[in-house]
Amino acid sequence: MSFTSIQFIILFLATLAVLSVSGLFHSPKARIFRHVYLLVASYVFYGRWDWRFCFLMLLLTVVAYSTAKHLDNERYRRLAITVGIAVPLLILAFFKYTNFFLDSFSSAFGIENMRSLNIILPVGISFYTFQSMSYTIDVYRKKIKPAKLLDVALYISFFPQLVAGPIVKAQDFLPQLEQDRRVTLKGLEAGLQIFIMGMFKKIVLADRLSVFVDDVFAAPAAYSSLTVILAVISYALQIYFDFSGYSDMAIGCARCMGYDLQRNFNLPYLSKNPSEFWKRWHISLSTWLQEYLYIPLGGNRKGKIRTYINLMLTMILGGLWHGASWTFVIWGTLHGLALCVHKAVAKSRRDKKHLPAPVLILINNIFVCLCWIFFRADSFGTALCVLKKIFIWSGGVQQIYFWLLFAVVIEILYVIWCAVKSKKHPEENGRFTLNAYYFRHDLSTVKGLFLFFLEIMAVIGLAYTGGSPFIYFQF
Amino acid sequence: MKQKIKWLSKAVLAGVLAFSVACAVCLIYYNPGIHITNETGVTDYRWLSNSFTGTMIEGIAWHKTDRNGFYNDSSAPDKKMNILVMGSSHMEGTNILYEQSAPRILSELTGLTVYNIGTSGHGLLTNVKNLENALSVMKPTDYVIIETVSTTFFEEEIEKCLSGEMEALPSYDSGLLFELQKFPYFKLMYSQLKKWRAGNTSSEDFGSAQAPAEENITLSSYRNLASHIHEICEKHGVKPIIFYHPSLSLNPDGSATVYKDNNTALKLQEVCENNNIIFIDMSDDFLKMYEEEKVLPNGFCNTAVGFGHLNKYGHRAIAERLSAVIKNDRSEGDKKQ
Repeated sequence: MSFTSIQFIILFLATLAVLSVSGLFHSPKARIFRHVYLLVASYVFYGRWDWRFCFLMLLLTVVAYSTAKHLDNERYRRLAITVGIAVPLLILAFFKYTNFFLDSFSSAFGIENMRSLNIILPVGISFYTFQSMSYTIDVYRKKIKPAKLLDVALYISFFPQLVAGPIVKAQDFLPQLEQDRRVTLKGLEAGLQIFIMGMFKKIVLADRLSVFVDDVFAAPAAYSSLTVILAVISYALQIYFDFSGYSDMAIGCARCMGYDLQRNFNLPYLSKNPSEFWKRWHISLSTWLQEYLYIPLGGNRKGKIRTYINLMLTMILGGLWHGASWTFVIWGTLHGLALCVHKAVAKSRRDKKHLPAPVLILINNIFVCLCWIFFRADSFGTALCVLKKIFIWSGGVQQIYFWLLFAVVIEILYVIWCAVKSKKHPEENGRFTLNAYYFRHDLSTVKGLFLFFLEIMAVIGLAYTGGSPFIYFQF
Repeated sequence: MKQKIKWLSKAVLAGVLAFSVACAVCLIYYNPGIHITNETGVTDYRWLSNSFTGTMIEGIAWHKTDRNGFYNDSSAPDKKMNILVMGSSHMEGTNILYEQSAPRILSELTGLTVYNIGTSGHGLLTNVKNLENALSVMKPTDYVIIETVSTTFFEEEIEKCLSGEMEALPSYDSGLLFELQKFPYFKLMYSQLKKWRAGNTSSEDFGSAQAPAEENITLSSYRNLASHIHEICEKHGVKPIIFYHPSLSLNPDGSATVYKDNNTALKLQEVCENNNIIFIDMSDDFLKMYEEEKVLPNGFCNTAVGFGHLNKYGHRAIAERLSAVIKNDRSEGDKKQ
């Protein structure tokens, strides 16, 4: 059941209704009832994909809860943290990487006719395994206390962010469950508008762009170099709108119910360097990797060479997290290399004059777009074909895709609007930082309602109805 | 309570304003026009006369219908028309400018008067059903050209067409549905809903419309169809031309493949030739156009590549082929005389 389906809208409206009614009661039992209802709704949501994987999620919940309970005991502390990390990783490895390793092994050693296993990849497994590990590690580090089973179960299965993020850290979400969070008019007003904004990004912009991208990447040799370049740019925009749109819908849903999820994207294509890009792109993943992988590996505290190794390892594993394919490993490696180069160059050029910001943004985006080729291509061969088309100018079918121009214009207007807002709200030290904002109209005024209704009509009227799954569902 | 009523009034006002803006935008974004029953029977329905229509959904073009409710740059000519064109939405050509349409280019290339009654939803069998009326009313002097995007016709369908039992395409000439058509945003919503349902419907939902078996495509029914076309055209003293335009799909190596059913195309070609109907298969023309110019006959800047209605390249190729065939046919006719 995806966010853009009728079944989800029914489930969500029912959930809102139940939470609203139970919110009229101010007792601890009412709060428990709300959590139980949310838990059931989350399992129904996940079960609609495949009911068998509910047991998998339940297993991870039980493992996370049990191991966290034993972290207080010094005798079992090491064993508990090992189990709490190893079990989710083994489950993830089995479902996601078994065939990848089998295929790679057979290719490397020339073994023919090696059969792959028929393993279905559970939707969202990469997200909720990371969340279960986050809980265990946060308890181990004593950032949070072990929580009740109900709260742990709800944290791992919370349906707005279950299948495609944002990856919510336990230390951020569990305290919210201890508070009396309710459905309020203010929350609904904000949440609905964020949800609609996300829907526009996904079913109008991302899905429209996917038509063009799919056509070109299916047969890059048939298209002109200009068309292939436009397709690569389209993919960069498609994956941004798709993923940030989904994140916005998740954040909007949660806000309607009274819960806060962190922003996951902050105008990433305005980054001046790879390091800034990873502070603006898929923020929840990059902070998770930083906190639970890069820093435990030593971060930048063990010398220059070790820093570069840690960066490379983190980004390669980050790439592999996205998918069981060498193209994702290459993508992660390229970003790791870029981060290392940036770290080295930034240090040496600290007191020197920098290139103008627009030039830096352009260079960074060219690099990011070239990396996206490996992310999108279904094979190394396709990626090479696309690169060849870009760097060796040649003719072919020409397509200047209308919806790419539309998406670019919309994004430029949005960035200008964010820039105006950012100027009105500078940082505490007075510095100007360009940040993303959500459209928030005052729905008690005619103007606010008019703009809100117009947004909804734009979503309905411009939506691509051909059907296109969320890109990050495959992770 | 008072506050709630006040808020509701604001919401209604805001809704009406937003709807008005949406309709205004739809006048250029998606405004297919209103269709009504065609009393003359030349087509099942026609568009409202002299009305402004436009699309930015598939192709980018805006038109005005003529006084008969079709897409020509003028009404039915005062002088005799030489060629009558019948077809579906492909021939209707609302996705391209009128100057780029096959009937218009054909008229320029041949110097003959061409009148286009191509209308959305009118496949070959629907046009054959209406052929007698079309020729009686429009009275072309030389040719009737019928466009088809398919060559697969089942025996049951052909029988219904020839026996007059084929149902006419619906239109709403009055009542609520007629009035609702005047609001372009409602038409857009309806179009979106139709497409969304088509995308979300499983094959089981098409239980009654599942493709019949191959045994239901019979040569004898094709012969009956061709013979019927021949009889009507001979009675009205015009020569029939049927042209078939399959689409192309791109292969990973950059070549293109014609997407067609060879079996049925050959059947139709055979029966046409045996009944003095000129049959044109545009496959080779389209492949040649792709190889030489790297353009496809279908698809637009706002659709999937090569997918959907005929674009300006497809129309041009069709017009050129038709022109060559007609010139050749006329010169052979002159020689015989």
